[in-house]
Amino acid sequence: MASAIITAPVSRSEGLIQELGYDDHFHDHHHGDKYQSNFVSHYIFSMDHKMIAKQFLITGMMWAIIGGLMSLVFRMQLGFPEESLAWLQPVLGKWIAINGDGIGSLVPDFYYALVTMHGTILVFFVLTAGLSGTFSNLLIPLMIGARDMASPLLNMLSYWFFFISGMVMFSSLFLSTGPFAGGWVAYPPLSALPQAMDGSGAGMTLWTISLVLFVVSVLLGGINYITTVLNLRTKGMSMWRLPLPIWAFFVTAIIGLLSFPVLTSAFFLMMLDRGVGTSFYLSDIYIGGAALDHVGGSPILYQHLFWFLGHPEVYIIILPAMGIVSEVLSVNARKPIFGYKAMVFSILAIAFLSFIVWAHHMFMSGVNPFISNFFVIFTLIIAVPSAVKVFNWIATLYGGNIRFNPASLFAIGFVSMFISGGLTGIWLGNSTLDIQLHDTYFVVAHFHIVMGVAAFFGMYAGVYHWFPKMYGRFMNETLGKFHFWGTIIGAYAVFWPMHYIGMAGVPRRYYKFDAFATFGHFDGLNKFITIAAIITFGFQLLFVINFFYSIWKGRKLTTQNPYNANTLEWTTPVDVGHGNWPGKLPSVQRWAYDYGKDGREFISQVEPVGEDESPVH
Amino acid sequence: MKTLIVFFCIALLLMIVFQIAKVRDLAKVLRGPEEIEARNTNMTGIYLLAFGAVFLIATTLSALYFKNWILGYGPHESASAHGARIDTMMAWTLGVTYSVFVLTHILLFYYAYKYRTRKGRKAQYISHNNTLEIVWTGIPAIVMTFLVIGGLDAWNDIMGDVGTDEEILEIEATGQQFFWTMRYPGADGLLGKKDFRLISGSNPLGQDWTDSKNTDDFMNNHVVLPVGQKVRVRITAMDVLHDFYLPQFRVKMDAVPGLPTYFIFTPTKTTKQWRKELSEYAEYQIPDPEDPTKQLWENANFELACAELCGTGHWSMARTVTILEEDEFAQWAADQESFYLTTVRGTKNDPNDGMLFPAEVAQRSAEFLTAANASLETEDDADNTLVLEYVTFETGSAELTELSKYQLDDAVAFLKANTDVYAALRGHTDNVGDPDMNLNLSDARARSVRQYLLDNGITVDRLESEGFGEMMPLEDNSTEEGREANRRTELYISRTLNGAEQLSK
Repeated sequence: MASAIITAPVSRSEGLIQELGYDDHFHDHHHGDKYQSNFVSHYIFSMDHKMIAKQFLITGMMWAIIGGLMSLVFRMQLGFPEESLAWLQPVLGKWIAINGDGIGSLVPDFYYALVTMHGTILVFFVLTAGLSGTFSNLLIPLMIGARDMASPLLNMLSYWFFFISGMVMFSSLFLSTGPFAGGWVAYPPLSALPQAMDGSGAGMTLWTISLVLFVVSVLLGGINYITTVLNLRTKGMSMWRLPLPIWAFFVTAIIGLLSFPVLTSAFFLMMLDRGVGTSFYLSDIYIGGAALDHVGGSPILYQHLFWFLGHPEVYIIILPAMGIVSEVLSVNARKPIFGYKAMVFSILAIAFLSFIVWAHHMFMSGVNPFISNFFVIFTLIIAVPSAVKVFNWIATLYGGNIRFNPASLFAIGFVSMFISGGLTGIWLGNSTLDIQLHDTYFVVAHFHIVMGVAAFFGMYAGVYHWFPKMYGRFMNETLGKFHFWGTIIGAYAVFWPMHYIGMAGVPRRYYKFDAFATFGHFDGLNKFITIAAIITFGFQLLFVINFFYSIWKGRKLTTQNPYNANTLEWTTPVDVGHGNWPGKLPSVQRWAYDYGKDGREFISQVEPVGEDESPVH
Repeated sequence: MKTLIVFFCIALLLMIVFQIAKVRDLAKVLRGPEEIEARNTNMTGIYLLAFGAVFLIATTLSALYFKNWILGYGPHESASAHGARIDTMMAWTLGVTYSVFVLTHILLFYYAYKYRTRKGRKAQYISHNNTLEIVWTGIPAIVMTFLVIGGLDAWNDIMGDVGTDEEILEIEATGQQFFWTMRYPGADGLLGKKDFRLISGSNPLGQDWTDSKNTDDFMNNHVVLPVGQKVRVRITAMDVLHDFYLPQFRVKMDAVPGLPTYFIFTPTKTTKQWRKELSEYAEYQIPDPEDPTKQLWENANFELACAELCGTGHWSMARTVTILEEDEFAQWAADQESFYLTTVRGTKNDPNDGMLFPAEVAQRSAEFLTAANASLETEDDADNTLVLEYVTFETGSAELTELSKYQLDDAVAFLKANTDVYAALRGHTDNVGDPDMNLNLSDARARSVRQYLLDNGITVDRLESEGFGEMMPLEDNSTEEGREANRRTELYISRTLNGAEQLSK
C-alpha cells in the first residue's frame, strides 16, 4: 500500500528525500488513512493539522468580520453623532435609541459593549487563535518535517474548545442586558458588580466562561506546539536549523503556556467575588445606595494578574507575525534572513522580557510609584531586541532581488507598521510620559498599529504566501495588491490621526467628546477616521472574497515549489495528504536560508552541503 | 431605500474590481508572465517609493498642522510645575523617535524600490555582519539608557510624596458614577476621616462627624485652586475605578475603591493667564460653537475628566478647574460653608448633639453679646427681650441641659460687665398639654435659670423670674416649628427698671 503511493520523483527534492530521507514506516501503519475517512472526520472533527489550521483560519476570519463590523458601528457613532443610525435598528433593535428629532444613536451601554467585544474578539479570537492557531498548526509539522502534531487529538480539542468559547461569547450578544461592556481588560469592581453596569451581569458571566474555555484551547494547542517542535523534528533538523516562523511559534507557545493560566486564576477569583461573596478584588464600595460587605480586597490585584498574561499576550500576537514576515521577506528578497541568530536571540529576549514588564500598563493605577522604576527599565530594554529585528529586516531587503507579491508587500508593510507602532511604545513605556498619555487615544493608536494592524499584516503575508500549500491554488494577485494598498493607506489613515487626538489629551473609551471643551476640537478628524475605517474594512472584504473564490476557482498550483523556497513544506506533494510526505521523511542537511549562495538562487534544506560549497553561514 | 442603493453600488464596485483583477491575472498567464511581471514589479517599486515619500511628508505636515491643539506645544504648554518636565521629556522622545521613524522608513521603502527584482540580477548572499549588528544593538541601547535615566529622574521627582515640613494644600477628589466631588479641608487645613459605611443621603462622602477635622470641611463640585501653591490631591473612589485626570496640568491617577491614591502638583498659571495665552493663537480666535457671542479663548477652562472606564456615563464626568490668584482663593475659601455645620449640625444625623465645638461656643457668645449690647442701645424697652435660644431643659422638667450653660455663662459675663443692668427671666411653653401645668413648668424653668445666674455671682436684686405658660406665643402653635419657637426662655434687660418692675410691665 505504502509503496503504491511513491512514484518516480518529480522534483530534485523528492529525489533527495527518497535517497537520504528517514523512513519512519509511517504509511505502513496508516492503512486507509483513518483520520480522513469520511466527511465528518475530514472536515469537522479532523485531527489533521492542515485541516485544523484551516478551521482556525476560517473561524478567525469570521470573527474578524464580526469584530470589524462592530468597530464600524461604534466608529459611526463617534464620527457622526449627529447622523441617524436608525437604519441599524432592524439589526440592533433596542440598542439604537431614537430621539425626538428622529435621530437614532447607539445607546451608551451598547457602545461600550461593542468596544469591549471588539477588543476581546480581535485580541483573543482573531489575533491569538486565528493567527497563532492557523500558522502554528499549518507550518510546525510541515516545516520541521513531521507527519502531524505530537497529539492530533489534543489538537482537534484545541480547535473545538476555541469554537465553543466563541459560541458562548457570541450567545452573550443576545442577552437582554447586553454582552459584557466593561472594556476588554474587565477591571473590577466594574466587571465584578452587576449593579455597576448592565453588561456586568450575565454578560460578564458568559464572557468569563468563554475566555476560560479559550484558555483551555490555547493551552492544549500550546502544549502540542512545544512538544512537536521539541520531539518531532526530522533527522538533521537541529534547533539552529529551524526556520524563523517555527522559532516564533515555539516561543509563543511557551509564553502562552506560562501566562494564560495566570489569567485563568484571575478569572476564578473574579468568579468567586461575583458568585460566592469573597473579596479578592473588592473593598470599601458604596454602590446603588448601599455599602457592600466586601472589605480587604484590592482591584489592583486583578490588574496584576490580568497584565501578567496581558502583556505577554501582545507578544503572543506579534511574535508569530514576526516569524512569518521574516520567512516571507527572505524568500521573496531571495536572500538569507539577515542575522538569523540575532533574530532568534531577539525573539527569546523579547519573550523573557515580556514577563517582567506587565506593570507598565499600571503606572497610573495606584501601584507604588517606586515599583514603576523597574518596569520602565525593563520595558524600554525591549526596544533593543525590537530595533535589532527591524534593522535585520531592512538589511534583508538590502542587496536583494525582491519579488513583489501580496505576501512580500504585506511583509514590507508589517515592518513599516511595526516601526511606527513600536516607536510610540518608547513614549508609553516611559512612565513620565505615561502620566500624560495613559488611557488617551495615543494608546489606541499605539497598540492598534503595533499589534493590531501589524499582526494583521503578518497574517495576510502568511495567508497569501502559504495559501497554495493550504488549498493547492493561488489567490488572485492583483486583488491581493489592491488589498495591500487599500489596507496600508487605510490603516494609517485610521490610526495615525489618533496620535494627535491622544497627544491633545482626549481619553479613550469616550462615547462622546462634547461634554468637555478640551476634547471637542476634533470632529473633523473623527469623521475622517470613521470614513477611513469603513473604506479600509471594505478592502478587507476584497480579501475575504479573494480567499473564498480562490479556494475553488483560484489559479492551480502546478509545481511543488512555486516560490523556489528552501523550507520543507515545499518538498511535499502539490496535493499534500495526511502524513505530509508520501514516502520517507525528509532529512535536513542545512539551515533554511541558503538563498543566492554560490550563485545558486536557492538550495533546499534537504540538499546536502556540497564539497566545494563555500562555508555555511 | 438610500441604504439599499449604497449597498448596491458597493457590491457593484466590488464586482468590477474583482473582474479587473481576474482579467489581469489571466492576462499574465496568457501574455507570458515574465514581461508583465517585470512591468508590475517596476510599478510596484515606484508605488512603494511614492508611498514612503507621501507618508513621511503627510505625517510631518499633519503634525505641524495640529501642533497648536496638542498638549506640550503652543498654547498647551503645561499649566503645572512638574508638567514642564513631562513636556520636555516628550519633546526629546519625539525628536529621537521621529528621527528613527524617518530614517528607517527611508531605508525600508528605498531598499524595497532599489532592490526590486530585475532580469539578470542576482541577490547578494549576506547572512550577517557582526560589526553592523553590534553597532545597531549598541546605539539603541545607549539612546534608551538616556531616555530611561531622563524619564525616571523626572518620574521620581514628580511622584514622590511631600515632606513633613512642606506647606501644602491638601484637597480630596472622590469619583463615583458619574461625577466628581471635591472636598476642601476648611480653616484647620486638615481633611477629616471618612468611611464608606457612613455614606448616606445626608452624608454623601461618608465623613465621620466624630472627627473634629471634618467639621469645617467643605465640598465643591468643581476644582478651585490657588496659583503657585503646592497641592496634594487625595484621590478616592466610591464604587468602581475612576481616574482623576487634569489634562492641562499633566495630572492623572486612578481612583481606587479601598485604596486612596494621591497626586501632587503646583499650578503655575491662573485661568485668566491661560485665556490670555490662548487668545494669541488664531485657532482660538474663532467663535465658540457653544456660545457664538464669544471667542473660543474667552470661554476656555481647565478641566477635570475621568480617564478610567467606569461605566455607561464614563464620558460625562466633566468638571472645571479654576486657578485663582492666592488672595482670590483665600476669599473664595472663606466664603464656602462647612457641609457639616450647614447640613448636619443639630439634625438627627449629628452624633455630636451633646457637645459644642469651641468655634460654635465662640460664635454663639459673639452673637449673644452683639444682640444684648444692641438691645441696650435702643430707646424702646420692648426690644430689650432676648430669646435664650440655646437654653434648653430636660424633657418635662426644669433641669437645665448641659449645653444651656454656655449661653447662660455668656449672660453672666454680660451682666457682670454691665453692672447697671437689671434682668428678668421669662419662661414660656407651647400649647400642648394642660395650661396650668404649662404655667407651673414655665415658672419653674425661669426660676431655674435665675438660680444659675445667682449661683454664678449675679446679685439677687438684679434678677427676677416668672412663668407665662402658653399665654404669649411667638409663632403659630399649629406647626412643629411654631411650637418649638414658643418653648423658650427670654431674658429681658434694662438699665432703668429693676427686675420686679420689668415683669409687672
